[in-house]
Amino acid sequence: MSFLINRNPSGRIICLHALLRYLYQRFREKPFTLNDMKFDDKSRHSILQTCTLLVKLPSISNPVCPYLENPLSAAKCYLTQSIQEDTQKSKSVSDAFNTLEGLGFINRTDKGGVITKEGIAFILNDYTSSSTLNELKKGLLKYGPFVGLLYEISRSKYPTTKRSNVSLGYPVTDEKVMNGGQVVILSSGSQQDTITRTRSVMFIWAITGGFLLPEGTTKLKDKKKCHVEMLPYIKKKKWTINNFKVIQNDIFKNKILVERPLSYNAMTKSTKALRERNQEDVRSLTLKFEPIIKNRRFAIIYSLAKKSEKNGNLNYRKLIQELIKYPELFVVDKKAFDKVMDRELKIANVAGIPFERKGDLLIPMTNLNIIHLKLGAPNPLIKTLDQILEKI
Amino acid sequence: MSLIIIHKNKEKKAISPYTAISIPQYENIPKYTKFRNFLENKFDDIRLWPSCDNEDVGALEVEPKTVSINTKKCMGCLMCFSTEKHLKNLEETPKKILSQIYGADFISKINSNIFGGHLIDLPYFKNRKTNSFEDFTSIKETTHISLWASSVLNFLASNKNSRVGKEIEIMKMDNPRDGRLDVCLDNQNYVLVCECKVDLNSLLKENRFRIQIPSYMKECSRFLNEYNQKHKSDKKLMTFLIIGGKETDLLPPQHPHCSSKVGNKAERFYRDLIKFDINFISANSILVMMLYSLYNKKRLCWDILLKSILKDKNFIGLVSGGMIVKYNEEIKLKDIPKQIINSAEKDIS
Repeated sequence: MSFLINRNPSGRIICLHALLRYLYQRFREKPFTLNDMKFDDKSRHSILQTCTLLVKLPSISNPVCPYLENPLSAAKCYLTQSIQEDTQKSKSVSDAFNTLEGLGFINRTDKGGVITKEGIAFILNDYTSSSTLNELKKGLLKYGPFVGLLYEISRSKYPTTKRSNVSLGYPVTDEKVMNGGQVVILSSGSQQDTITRTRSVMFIWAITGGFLLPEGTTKLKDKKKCHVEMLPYIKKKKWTINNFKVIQNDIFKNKILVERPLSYNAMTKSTKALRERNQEDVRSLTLKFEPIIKNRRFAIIYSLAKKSEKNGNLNYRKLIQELIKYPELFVVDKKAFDKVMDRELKIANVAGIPFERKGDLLIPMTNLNIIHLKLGAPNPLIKTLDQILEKI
Repeated sequence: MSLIIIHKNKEKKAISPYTAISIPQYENIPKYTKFRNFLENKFDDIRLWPSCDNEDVGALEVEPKTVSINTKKCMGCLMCFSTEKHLKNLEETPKKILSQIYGADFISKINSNIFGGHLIDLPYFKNRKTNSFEDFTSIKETTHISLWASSVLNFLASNKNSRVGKEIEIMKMDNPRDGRLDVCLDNQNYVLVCECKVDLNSLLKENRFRIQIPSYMKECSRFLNEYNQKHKSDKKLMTFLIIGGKETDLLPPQHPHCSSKVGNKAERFYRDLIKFDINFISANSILVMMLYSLYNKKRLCWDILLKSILKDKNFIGLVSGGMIVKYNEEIKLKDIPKQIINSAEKDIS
């Protein structure tokens, strides 16, 4: 499965490299849990042994992680936090896990993950080696949301791009339902702060991978070591540059295969996590309709992917006309369905199958690993969609 | 010589004295009870913070055997000293160390100048990351002024077992998101709750203090009353705004040295303080109390001092030059009599 990442620590590939090296040292090709990824002061193995970014601060005798707000914190590592102290309540380590999975460096298992052969190839050499960059680039082009970002950047007429040109998040549909006489807007879209974080991480990956150059850098001395040349910027605590030069823009000349698109369970954000006071109605109603929201987003992506597999295009109008026949699977409000689905189309980009639109025809720009896409999807849903796709 | 060794780590402690601030993490189970648990001293864990900000100051140099102050980097916040309530195992006397940081001239006048009717002009330290204490307090609220105030006010509390809490979540009935009490001190008879702001500009720009402080007082009073009933005690609550940045901004608008007259900032500030019955303390005044305490090796206790000066119903705020009071329609800076200052001292032992 692949999920949408949204935490800044995962932006530093050098940290992920250190994390994977620690995991391999400790577990080799055996499974590990999320807790195993965290620093544990009781374990003789730790990410601090593989991390190359630790700094000696004046008021602390041992080198520490430079990104922790409190360098004396028992969290020890900004990327994973620790068993002893985790101010992020496992969100940071989950995000690191999702990142490694999205890049194809680990596979998800029942209780955790296991390193893949691509992951081993990624950590075989030091971070600074050009082969590490090669493996990284392969990984980046596997991950659906990153491909979506590259597509949005490629649409620009200009050789430069801004962070604000790209919006990567779950679509905001403003879909309303009535609840006891009150109108409630379902919370199925990403909030702005999440979009900012996802975008921030993807842009740093694009710089690390040699797709973009931050404003102020005229050119790279050695393209094969861009991940090293850009380290001074990547290592900063905050990434403040907003304008970038596009240096690799030929990704969509041919259809690439996106091995790790967002999978079924990642079609929505974590609705259970909505927890502000007076948000109980929004939360409970969104949870109630979450399967429908997941299904209809999945329907868009799956349909595009199946058509793309056969080098075909998707007739969006026909798809909608078919989906509405299955309200229990796809529809919250029939009257608003058309408008809502038009907004839901944005999920395709985030998932990794951007398209060009010509009237009702959607022309997919990538292929997806459909087996990975289907992970977690209910069989009746797949069956229904397959039947629909045969008709349209 | 720019490096002063203040402590030798003879006991080879992993974390040398003077190098870290300990802040207990109070339980939040059941939800919204962190303040109650602070009062009951129920904590999960202790978190350590460096006693010298490495990024913006970097003056405390810690090696396995020694702890030193680099006087070419230090701007005299005294946070490092505040971590050891009894100032044990200092290699030099505090007076001597202070003279090297601040200059003997400045230090020798502390006794006569503190709360003497004129603001104390803190020095500007050239050629370093942070040039003055006011610069330090005017940025990064959580890691500068809040952390600093937590530690220094704990040092300046009269009770030897005083306790500190930082960023304690509290329910705010008027807001779907909860509030956080920046600094809490439990000094046995008094509980001090403070909201910290980096400077007057950010206080007025945010403009939430007028609602925040009364709302915190209400919630904290509720918990405190419960606690007092349960334990048959008589703890009293004190609530203050602690404001950093330029102290002259905090002077009343009629004061000749007030630097926040433009845009009517001083006027708005005082109007809201009076209307919403909010008191403030300048960060500079707390620093000056700390300087005085270290110089004289007598703790100038905030609880004893504030108890005395709060008897004056006209009290609005405390600055390094004394009290800001309102008499009839006039708001002015008034000195604090020496006997009140002396009566608030306790030996540091």
